[in-house]
Amino acid sequence: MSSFKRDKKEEEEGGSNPFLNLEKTSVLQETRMFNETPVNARKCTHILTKILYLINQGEQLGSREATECFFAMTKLFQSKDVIMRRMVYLGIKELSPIAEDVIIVTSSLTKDMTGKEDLYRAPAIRALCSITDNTMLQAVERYMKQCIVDRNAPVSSGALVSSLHLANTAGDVVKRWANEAQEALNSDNIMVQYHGLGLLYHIRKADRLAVTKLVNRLTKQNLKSPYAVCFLIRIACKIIEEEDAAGNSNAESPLFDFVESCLRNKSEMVVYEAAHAFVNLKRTNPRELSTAVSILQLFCGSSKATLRFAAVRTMNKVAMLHPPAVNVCNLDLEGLIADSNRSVATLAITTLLKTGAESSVER
Amino acid sequence: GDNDGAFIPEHKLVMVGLDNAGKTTILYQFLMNEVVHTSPTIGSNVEEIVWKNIHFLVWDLGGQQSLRAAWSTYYTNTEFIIMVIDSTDRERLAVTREELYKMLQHEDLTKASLLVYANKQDLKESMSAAEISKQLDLTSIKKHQWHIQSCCALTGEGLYQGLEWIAQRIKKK
Repeated sequence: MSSFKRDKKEEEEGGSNPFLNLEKTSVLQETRMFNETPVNARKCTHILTKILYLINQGEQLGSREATECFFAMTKLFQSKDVIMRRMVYLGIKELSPIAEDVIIVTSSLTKDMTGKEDLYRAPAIRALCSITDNTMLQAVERYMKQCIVDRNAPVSSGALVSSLHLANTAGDVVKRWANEAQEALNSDNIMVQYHGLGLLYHIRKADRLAVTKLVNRLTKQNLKSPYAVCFLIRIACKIIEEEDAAGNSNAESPLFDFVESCLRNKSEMVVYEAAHAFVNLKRTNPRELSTAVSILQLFCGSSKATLRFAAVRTMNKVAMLHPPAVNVCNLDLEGLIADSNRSVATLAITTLLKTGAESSVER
Repeated sequence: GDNDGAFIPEHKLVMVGLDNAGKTTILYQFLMNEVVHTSPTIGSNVEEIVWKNIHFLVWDLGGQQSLRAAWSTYYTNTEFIIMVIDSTDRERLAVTREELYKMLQHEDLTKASLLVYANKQDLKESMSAAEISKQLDLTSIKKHQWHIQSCCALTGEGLYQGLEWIAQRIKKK
């Protein structure tokens, strides 16, 4: 709604968007300027912006147009202008699915990802992985491995996430990077740790024994990254459900204890994830369920709308499975009926309809 | 900044040749006066080299067969083509010859001059510059200025004589 209002206002002010009337063919013709030496970085950056804008508006480029534009863009590597170079990386990522012979920038990008300019390294990795296929990957494998374990966090993160994307098309090559992903998992940086776990799990996920080993080890070690802990909770729950389904129900599963310990984590995100997990696990007993619900109850009073929304949405789900467990929270839910956030208010009302007695509904 | 060097003319050089001829090694020998460890160039390297107050913009284009078709997109405004030859690679000299004549016919290169580096002269089994010149039939080239220079990219021997020939040509213009 609000974005619609803004658009209208801009119209009234008289076309404040300078990109409003761009024409694809004329913008593509402007890319001829990329061939000039020396490069006019300011003008070329502006042209690159127009191209990105057009593509993001849904303009379709044909393979030939995209290829010509892509090759024109490669000429810009002769300039050392930092802002323009970063625009070129974005352009490479946008055009690489449509253009042909995109491997032409492989050398330029590997040079940037291993070079001295830190501002280039992470985006160069992401761009490189968008142009690399299974066969080319072997040529840059050495650099990818180095970047995964790089001390610079954005570089390491960029390499990990790119590897994850590559795993869909080049799974066999990426599988060989498990040692590097393992090393990233020990990073002090919360993002690197999270992405490290993401990649390592992806590599191992077909091997149940390896996953169980990994999770058992990590639950004993205090992971710094709340994102990584949330992910670990999800993997742990998956294992618990699988074991229970297989009939190996072990009442005192260490993984179950781990999820329970997460209810006392200092990060709200982790606490919510653990409470959510308890609500959804089949083996949760009424006592554990009530602990989880009381945490959600606490979140209903949070000043953060996202937290209230998450809590009441989960409550709504609990109310369908175990209405009595939610009864205790009816007062808190009633408080949310008039919440300034409409989604929160709606969820609170529907939850109350499931749990509330006549008296509360009347109120 | 944006306008730095805007009034110092840059001269565009395009360096081509088959894979493993030594193009990237030559580029970094010029740039840093040292031998860098190279791996096959997939695509292109571009570096600016300043020598005797002349700015050279050197495009080093990967030599693998799959990439050769893309060379021509880099020809616009090119003043000099440097063709690098592995002087020990007798078997593929015919391929080089074919690529060379195809290139010289390109409309964007009608005014370009040609420097041929007969590289890897340090190796015993290498052909001499004269022999390569004969095999490539260089004397038949009438529409382009050309020069052949024997060299060794690892030691740098002969490289600057080649660049000197280019510098002389620039001054005459």
